[in-house]
Amino acid sequence: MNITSRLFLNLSNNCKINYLLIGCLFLFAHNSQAVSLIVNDSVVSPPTSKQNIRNIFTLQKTSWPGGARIYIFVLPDDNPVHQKFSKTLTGIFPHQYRRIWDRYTFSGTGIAPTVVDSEAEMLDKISQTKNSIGYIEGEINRPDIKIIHLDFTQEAIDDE
Amino acid sequence: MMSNIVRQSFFTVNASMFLLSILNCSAFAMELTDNLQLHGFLTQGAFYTTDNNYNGKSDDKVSFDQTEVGANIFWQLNDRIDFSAQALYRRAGKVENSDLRTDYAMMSVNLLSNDTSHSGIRLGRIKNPIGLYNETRDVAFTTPSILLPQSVYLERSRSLLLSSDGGQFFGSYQLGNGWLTFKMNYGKAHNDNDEIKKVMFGNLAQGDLEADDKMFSGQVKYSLDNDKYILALSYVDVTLDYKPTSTDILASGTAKFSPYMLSAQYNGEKWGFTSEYYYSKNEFENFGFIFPDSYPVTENWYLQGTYRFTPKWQGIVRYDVNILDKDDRNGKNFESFGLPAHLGFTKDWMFGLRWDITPTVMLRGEYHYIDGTSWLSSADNPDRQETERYWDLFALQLSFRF
Repeated sequence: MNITSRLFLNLSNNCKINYLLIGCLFLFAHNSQAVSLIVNDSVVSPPTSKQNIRNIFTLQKTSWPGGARIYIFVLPDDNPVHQKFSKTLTGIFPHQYRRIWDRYTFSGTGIAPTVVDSEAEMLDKISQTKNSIGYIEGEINRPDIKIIHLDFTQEAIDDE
Repeated sequence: MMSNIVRQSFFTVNASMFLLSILNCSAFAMELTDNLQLHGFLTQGAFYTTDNNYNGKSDDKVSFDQTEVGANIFWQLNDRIDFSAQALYRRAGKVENSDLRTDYAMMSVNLLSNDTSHSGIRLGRIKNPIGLYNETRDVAFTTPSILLPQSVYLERSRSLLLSSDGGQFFGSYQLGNGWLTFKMNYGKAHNDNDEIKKVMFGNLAQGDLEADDKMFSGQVKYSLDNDKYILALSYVDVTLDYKPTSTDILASGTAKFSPYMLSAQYNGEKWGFTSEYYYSKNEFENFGFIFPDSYPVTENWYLQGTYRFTPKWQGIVRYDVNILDKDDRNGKNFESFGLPAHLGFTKDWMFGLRWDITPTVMLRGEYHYIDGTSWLSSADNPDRQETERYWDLFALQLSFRF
């Protein structure tokens, strides 16, 4: 075997490994792209069922056990992370949320979720606001914010 | 005269454009604290009709006589008590002339709140829960079309049914996969009933028609799967007392309206279907010999379908029927009073397109093919003999919100 062919073999082997690596990266990326629910550290019993999350974000449930108000933060209606959150975590479309929220906002009967412009602002708000809830794409590691791990998330994605 | 109207229209449009341009500098951060929110909207409409007038002089020309500007505040005082208020400026043809008023202003007390139910009371000026749209009928972003289905959301009775000064009981209970909600309002209605007076008596009446302070409106609603399916029943009971002048040919009679409204809606990802049916028993009593007691039944309904082509583009089709007296569907009685028969009914086919340019700016247009004139305003159409039975209406609307 001459040097050239050996090089070629090495290269092709490397390629295989690279493909595997890239494949792993994609898998990893897909997982880290999932949207997670986050709450301020002060929240003692965050929602864990799909229905409870829906009740909070559709403003049917407005206070935590104990009576403290829930503060909700969301990204703009056309933000891809908001769309992902709406569909996969709650099964409600952004336009359906908007219609529900507007009915409260413009009849004076409720306070709609606060819209933040970016995920960075979302993290700031959740860390600074007691009793708050929001969502984020990917993983974070901060002492002032709790990530809520939901069993049904994968199931919801499989449903898609 | 003409140049005045043109100038006024131009002024309105320019002012609206100016406001839009200064307001449209990205999304506002309107939350001053976590407990206080400010929101608002600005809407400008344009109307063109082949005959008859809608929202100003629109017959064979373009009328810009519809502007709606609102701003509201919501303040959470503590875990139980909220305050909210909205100011509304509204111009709608000759029916409403540059009117600035308090749309609602109330205190809400949340008495009970847990995972599966919440309830409380509200005090102040509260919007009446009638059908799917009455509570936010002046906010373009929340309505399905530029003209609300006039069969059940008549412009004429808007000010009577809009809100009441009094109190409301409200409650919500989780029931299966849905929520059962009720709202009950009791209080004093507003008293701007010239349009109702004109359709009842023509130009005969000299006195005022005033609502008493015992108006009831209530709604029971069941929404399944987070508003994907909605079923609601609304009921209103209101009495108007006529206060004749000393030379009046009408006596001090009463007009009692007690409409029921049944609403059904499906909201899917792409398709939406809505239908509302309105049935009202009306009693007109003791107005004297010139206007014998009568008990007409009003029956109105519409069917509406929407399709969302993309998240930003939505199409809508609606068929809307308004019958003032269900025993006189062709308006023969109006004819016997020397009025056009088509004052007794309206059938309206509507086709529209809505473009949500951004989450805060929306543009929509619609076309109506209309048979009848029952919901046309008398203010914009003072001489009913000049109205035409068959007419077309084109409307365009730009709205901004924050």
